[in-house]
Amino acid sequence: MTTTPLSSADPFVHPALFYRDDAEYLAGTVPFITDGLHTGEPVAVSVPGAKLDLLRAALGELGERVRFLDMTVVGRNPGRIIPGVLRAFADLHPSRRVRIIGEPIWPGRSDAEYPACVQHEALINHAFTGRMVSILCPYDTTGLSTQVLDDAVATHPVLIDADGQRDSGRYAPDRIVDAYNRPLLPPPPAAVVIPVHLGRMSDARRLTAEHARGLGLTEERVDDVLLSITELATNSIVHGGGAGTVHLWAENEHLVVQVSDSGHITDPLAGRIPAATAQTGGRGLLLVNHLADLVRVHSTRQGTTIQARFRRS
Amino acid sequence: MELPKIRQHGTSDTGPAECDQTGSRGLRIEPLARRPWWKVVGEIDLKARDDWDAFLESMVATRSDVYLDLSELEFIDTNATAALVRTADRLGADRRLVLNRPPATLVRLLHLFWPEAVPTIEVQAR
Repeated sequence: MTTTPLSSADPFVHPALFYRDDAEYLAGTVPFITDGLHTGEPVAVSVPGAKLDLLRAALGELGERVRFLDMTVVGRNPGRIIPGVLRAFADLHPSRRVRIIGEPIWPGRSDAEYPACVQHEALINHAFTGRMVSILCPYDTTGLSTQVLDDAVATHPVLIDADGQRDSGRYAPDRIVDAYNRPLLPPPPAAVVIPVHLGRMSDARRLTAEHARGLGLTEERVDDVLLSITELATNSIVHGGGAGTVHLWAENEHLVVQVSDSGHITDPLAGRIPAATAQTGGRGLLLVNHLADLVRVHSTRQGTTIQARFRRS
Repeated sequence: MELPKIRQHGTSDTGPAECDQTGSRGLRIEPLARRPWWKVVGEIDLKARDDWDAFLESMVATRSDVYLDLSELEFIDTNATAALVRTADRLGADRRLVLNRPPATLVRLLHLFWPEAVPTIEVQAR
């Protein structure tokens, strides 16, 4: 199943698997894995922990040949999944087809996370165009909302459920990317505001470090925040009109870092594609995606706002 | 050996190179008594990018091994780390790039973005 594309010359295969229960989950995923293993294709599975356990038990010894990753850890930030999970695995095997099961959307995803999740699902299609890669994305039809399942029809060219496989018919990934490019909630009145320009980067780091330490972040996490704020501010200075505004605040268990400027990010894959070794620049947003627990972007011709969240403990 | 000319950020006529008028710590690079080590002090971000690139260019031009004491380097961004990787590449297999006590973030950036370059850069933890 789904080893070859249905209807186009593109070798990239990206079906959604709609499942109601564990039995349908296994019926949809296990053959995808074992077919790959039997034809010598590298297989990775990145799904939430409970589903990892389910698949490990079902696969038995075959599971030793599968790369298992807990999506709630490696894909906590949806913006990290393409560069840090999917491309990272596919790029290890550039000359052959690889199979990946990726489940980035589960019932526990928050309202803050979901727009980044669904944009990620849409952008997979652009990130892998032309690649010999098959990515199967399971969706829990019992636990997820109608809206989420409806969006999955738009982000996947092919759908699979207990009745079989069919073309989506309503595949429109770019519409989803645009529809979820939404204004972010404004910072609370108590947020720390730091204007940044070339002469204030060092100050911004010092103030940010004080704030982050005060909120209980570990020194390593403070380093992550300082790297992130520096890369975002650098982008504002270089691409966003020469200056930006940093807001910092605590929200539940997170430190939120927000950087706004007058630039416009026109490439929706910005920050999601691994950088070539020889490439000097272009790693700023990519680094933030690797380090933060959640990255949200809102970008229009009027300006860009990027929020990065860092868990406090 | 003729020493490369290094421009300095963050210096003033009246005091040590700790702060400029905005409070930035800037970047300072100076030769150490134990030649051919260079000490890199402060922060390397967009503001110090040109100076950092020029310094590394001068190191490549010396045709010697490159020894950098980074024990007082407080911050380095991804672009400056990329420049270090590029320098190691340009030194080739015959010349060494040795870093003394680099910040933990620099080592993490190397492993994240340039794992293939890690073996070409010698790190001393002393």
